[in-house]
Amino acid sequence: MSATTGPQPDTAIPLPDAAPESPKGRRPRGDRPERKPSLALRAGLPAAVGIVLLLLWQFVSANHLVSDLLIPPVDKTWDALRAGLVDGDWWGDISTTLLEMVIGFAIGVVAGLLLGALFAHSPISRIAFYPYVIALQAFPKIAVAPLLVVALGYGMSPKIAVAASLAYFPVMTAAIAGFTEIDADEHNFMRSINASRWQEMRYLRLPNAMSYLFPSFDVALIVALLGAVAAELVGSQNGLGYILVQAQAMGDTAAIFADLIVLALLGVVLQAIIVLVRRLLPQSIVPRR
Amino acid sequence: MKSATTGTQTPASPAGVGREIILESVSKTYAVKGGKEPVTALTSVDLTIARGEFLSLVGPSGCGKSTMLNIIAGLLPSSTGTVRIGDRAVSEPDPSTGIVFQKATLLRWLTIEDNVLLPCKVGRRVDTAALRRADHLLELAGLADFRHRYPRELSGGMQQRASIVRALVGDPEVLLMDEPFSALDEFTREGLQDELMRLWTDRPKTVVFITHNIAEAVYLSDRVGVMTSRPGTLKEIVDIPLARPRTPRLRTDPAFYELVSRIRGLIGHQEQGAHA
Repeated sequence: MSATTGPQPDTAIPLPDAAPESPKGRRPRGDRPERKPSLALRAGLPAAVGIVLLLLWQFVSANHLVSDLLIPPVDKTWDALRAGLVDGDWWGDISTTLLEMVIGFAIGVVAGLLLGALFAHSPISRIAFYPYVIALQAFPKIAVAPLLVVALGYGMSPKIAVAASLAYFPVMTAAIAGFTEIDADEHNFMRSINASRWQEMRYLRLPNAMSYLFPSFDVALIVALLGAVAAELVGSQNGLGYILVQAQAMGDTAAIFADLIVLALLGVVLQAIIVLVRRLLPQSIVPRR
Repeated sequence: MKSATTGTQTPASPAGVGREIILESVSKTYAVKGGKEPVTALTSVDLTIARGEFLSLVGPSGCGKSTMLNIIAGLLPSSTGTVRIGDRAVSEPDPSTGIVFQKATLLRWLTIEDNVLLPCKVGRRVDTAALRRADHLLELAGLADFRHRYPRELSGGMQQRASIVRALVGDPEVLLMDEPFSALDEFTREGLQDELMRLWTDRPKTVVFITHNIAEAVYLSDRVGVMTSRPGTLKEIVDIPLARPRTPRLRTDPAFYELVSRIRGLIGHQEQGAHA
C-alpha cells in the first residue's frame, strides 16, 4: 500500500503547469484589494449552482442516462418529498429522529463537559483514562449499534446512546482546551485576589471555555444526527433511518433521495440555530477571542 | 480565612494611610533542573517601607525586582526571611493588598464595572462602600462612561486605568505595581503617572512600584530602591526630596534631572562592577 501510494505525491505535486502562478499565498495583496462580494452575488451564486445541479439531475434522469434505481427522476423524488412533508407521512419519523438526536446531543454535551472538566482539573485522571478515551474515539462506535439494539431494544434508547457516544467527544476536547488554556497573567491575577478553586472555575475557566465550546457544539450536533440515523438503520420501528431501510427494501429510490434531502435540511437548520444562539448570546457568556 | 481574621485584629491604622512593610533577610533561589547549583534570583534583602510611603524599585531585567514584588504579594514564597505587612506575616495573597500587573489582565467576558468589582465579589465584600468607591474611582479615572463596555472596546491606556481602579476598589492598605505602564506609549504613560499621583493623594497608601524607567520612579516616589542584577540585589536606596504635589513641570526641573542621573549612575557603575 505505502509502496504504491508513497511516490505518487512526489510526482503529482510539480505536475500542474499552472502551478507557478497559482499559489494563493504568493499573490501580492496590494494588487487585488479584498472586497466583500455583494449580497446579490453571495445569495445568487449558490442558488445558481443549485439550479444547475437540479437541471443536471433532471437531464440525467429524463434521458435515462443512469438507471432510475440509482438516480430517481426529479418529479418522483418531489412527490415522495411532498408525501412525506406536506401530507405529513414522515412527521412522526422526523420527530422521532429529531428527539433521539437532541437527547443524544444533550447527554453528549453534558458528558463532554463533565469529562472535560475532570480531565482538566485532575492530571492523574487524565493520565489514567485519557488513553482509553482516545482509543474509544478511534474505534468506530456505530459498530456497537447492533449490540446496543440487542441490549436496549428497538426503541429510542440505543439511538440516543449512539448519538451521545459520538457527540461527547468534540465537546470534551473543547472543554479540556477551554479549561486548561488559561492566560497565565489572568490566572496569576485570580490567585492574587485569593480566588478559591470554585471561584476560579466560575469567573475564569468556565467563561474562557465558552469561546472554545460553541464551535464544538456544531460538530456534536451533526455527529449526533449521524449516530441516531445510523442506529436506526440497524434496527428500528420508526425514524428517518427506518424509512431509508423500508424504501431500500422496496427499491423506492425516490423516497431514499427525499429522505436524504430531509436529513440534509435538518442538519443545516439545526446548525443554523446553534450559530444564531451564539450570535444572540451576550459577550459575557460567549466572549469573543 | 486566616488572613481575614488577622486583618480585623490589626490595630486600626489611620484610614487610608496604609501599612508598614518589613522585609527581613528575604531571598529567593530557584533549583535548576539537572542538579546544578541553584540560581539566586534575589540575594538577602532587608527593607522597611513606611506607612503611606511610595517606594519604587528600579533596575535592569533580572535584578529580582519582580521576584521581590511577588514575594510581598504572597504570590511567591521566599526561600529565606520573612515579609510582614502591618502585623501580618505574608504567606498568601491578601485582600488588603492590591496588585496591578504589567498587563491589564481584565477578563474579556466582564464589563469594566464587573471587572473592577471582581476582587470584592471574590472576597464577598461587595457592599455599598465598595460600590461607592467603584463609582468614585471610575469617575476619577475618566472611565465612568465606559463602565458597561467590555475591555476589548477600550484602549490599552484605559484598560490599564481600569486595572488600577480594580486594585483600589477594595481600598487596600498596600498597592503593588509591577511595571504597570511599561506597555504604554510615552504620552499615555505620563498621563497615567499623573493620574496615579492623583489617586494616591486622594487616598494615600503604601505603594511599591516596579519600573525600569528611572524618570518614572523619581517622578512618583518618596524613595527609589536601586537594584542590580546577577545576582539580584537591592544596592542602594535613594531619597527623593522633591516637594509634593508633583506636577508635570517637575519633569524639566534641574533637581529632578540631578536625581535621575544620579540613579542612572548607580545602575551604570554597578553594571561595570565598580563601586558607586
